[in-house]
Amino acid sequence: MIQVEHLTKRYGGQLSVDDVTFTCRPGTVTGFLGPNGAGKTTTMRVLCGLSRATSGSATVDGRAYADIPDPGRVVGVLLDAGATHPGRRGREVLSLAARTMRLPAERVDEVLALVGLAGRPERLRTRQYSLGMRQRLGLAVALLGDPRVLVLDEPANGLDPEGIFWMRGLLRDFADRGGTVLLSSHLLGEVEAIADQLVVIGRGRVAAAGSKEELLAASSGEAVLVRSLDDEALVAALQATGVGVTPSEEGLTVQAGAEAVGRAALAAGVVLTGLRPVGGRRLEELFFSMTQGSELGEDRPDAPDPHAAPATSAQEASR
Amino acid sequence: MSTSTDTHARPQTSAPTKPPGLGHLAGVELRKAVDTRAGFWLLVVVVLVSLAVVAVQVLAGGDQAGDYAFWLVLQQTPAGFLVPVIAILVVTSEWSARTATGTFTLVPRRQRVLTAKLLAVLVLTVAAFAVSVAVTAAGTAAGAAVQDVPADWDVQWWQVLQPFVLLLVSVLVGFALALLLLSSPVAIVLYFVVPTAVTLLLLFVGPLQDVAPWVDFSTALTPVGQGLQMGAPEWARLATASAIWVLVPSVLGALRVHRAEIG
Repeated sequence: MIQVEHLTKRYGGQLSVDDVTFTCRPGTVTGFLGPNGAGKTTTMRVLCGLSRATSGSATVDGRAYADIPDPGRVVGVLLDAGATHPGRRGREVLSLAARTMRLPAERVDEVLALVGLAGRPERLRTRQYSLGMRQRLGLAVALLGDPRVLVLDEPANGLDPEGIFWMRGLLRDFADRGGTVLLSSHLLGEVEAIADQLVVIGRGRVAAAGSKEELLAASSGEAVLVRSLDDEALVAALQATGVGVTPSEEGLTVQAGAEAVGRAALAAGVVLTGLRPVGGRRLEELFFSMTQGSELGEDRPDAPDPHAAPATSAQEASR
Repeated sequence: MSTSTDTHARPQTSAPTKPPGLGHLAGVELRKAVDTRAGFWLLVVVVLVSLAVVAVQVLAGGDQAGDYAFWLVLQQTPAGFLVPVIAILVVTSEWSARTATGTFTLVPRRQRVLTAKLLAVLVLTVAAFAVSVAVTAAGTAAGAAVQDVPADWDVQWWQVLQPFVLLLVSVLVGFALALLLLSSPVAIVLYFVVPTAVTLLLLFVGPLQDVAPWVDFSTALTPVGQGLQMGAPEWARLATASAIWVLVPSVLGALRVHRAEIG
């Protein structure tokens, strides 16, 4: 169980994390989602005792990280996959961690096999590792102490689609056995594939939190992407029925069901050449609408941001 | 894959109760000092240069080839150059190679990690000195035979203690600068440049010559290189200079690490 309560972190005058509160329960995989610079890594660093909170708290099973006697056996942490000594062999990285946690050497073999680095890769120095291999090694270190909580910062970064699929299975299994997983990502697809709970953060603040289904249901509702031989007439017909329409490169995004669009097209005598639901993009709309301007905007959440043009159209589409 | 996942990714086990002990962590740090390519080759070079010094003693030592005390001092040169570099890397590689994140998430008590590093460095120093004692003995026996001179095994306690202190102070200065700077290249360069610069400065600025042995550890250590026994005033100067070069940066560095944002 991870509990973050009213966590605030200020660097000088810069507010990096602003009153963040969320809980990760056993049996769930929580995706910590937000653009780069939104405060995900800072929150995780505070959670793992590497950085001090300005105010608020972050605990694992009710304890501050620094108060856990042998934290590697309670919390598996992967914060920076690039952070291995380039001149150290992969297996040695694990052996050192195993010694620190006083684990038998066989455990190193087990996790090496588990993450797919057994054999030749374990004997290479980490300077020869690809980013994907570093992620696997970092995940192996995190799993080494057989923890019940995992804290992973951008773990899918550098993994190929097969690797992401593999990690989803691994984390899903871990959670199904009562483990708690918090993983961050700035990529929607990754989180959508792996997590069941979401915490969306933008500009240091939690913009939304809840189960993936809840958040999807609460976002844009039904929408379809439409192509036709006469977009202008179709837009007019749809707007006449009070439906939101947004033109895009691929066609028209319409905030209505396929049936409503079909009826409007029939009534207007427009030939449809494409009609498909865009539910798969709803999370993206949610992401943009909730974190809009968080990378470039000013401190006032409602201040208009001239740079946020792509996000703005997505936000309009979601209205 | 699914079977191994079933076996090994299970999250529920007995909770551990005790943090790792200091001696245990020192063992881990000692291994970290020598398990990288840089650490390994530094040790190899120390041994090779030591053997080169032995070769000089045996083949070109002349009348002094059998003088154990003389060569024991000279044998501190290779270790005195390179063991401090290992000591620096023990500290700074955590930052330069960014491994501090992993180290301090496994052991959140940062001062305990630093103390373990100091212990590891002390073990390395004693080991390097022990090797120099043994290597010099072999060189003295061989040198006396080859150069056909009597071997002088008459060694006073201070003739062993002083070379050890020479090595120890060099290593501790490196360790202290590393703690203060937390960067491998900066600490290594400054370790070699600053003490020499200070020595030269004090040497050439007339009014400072009297204070030099009190503030400059290399000047304070000159009697060791000359094979002279240090008396109470010399030890007092060395203690003062060491406090400036070792204690001050160590304390400042430890405070810095304690407060730092890691990573």
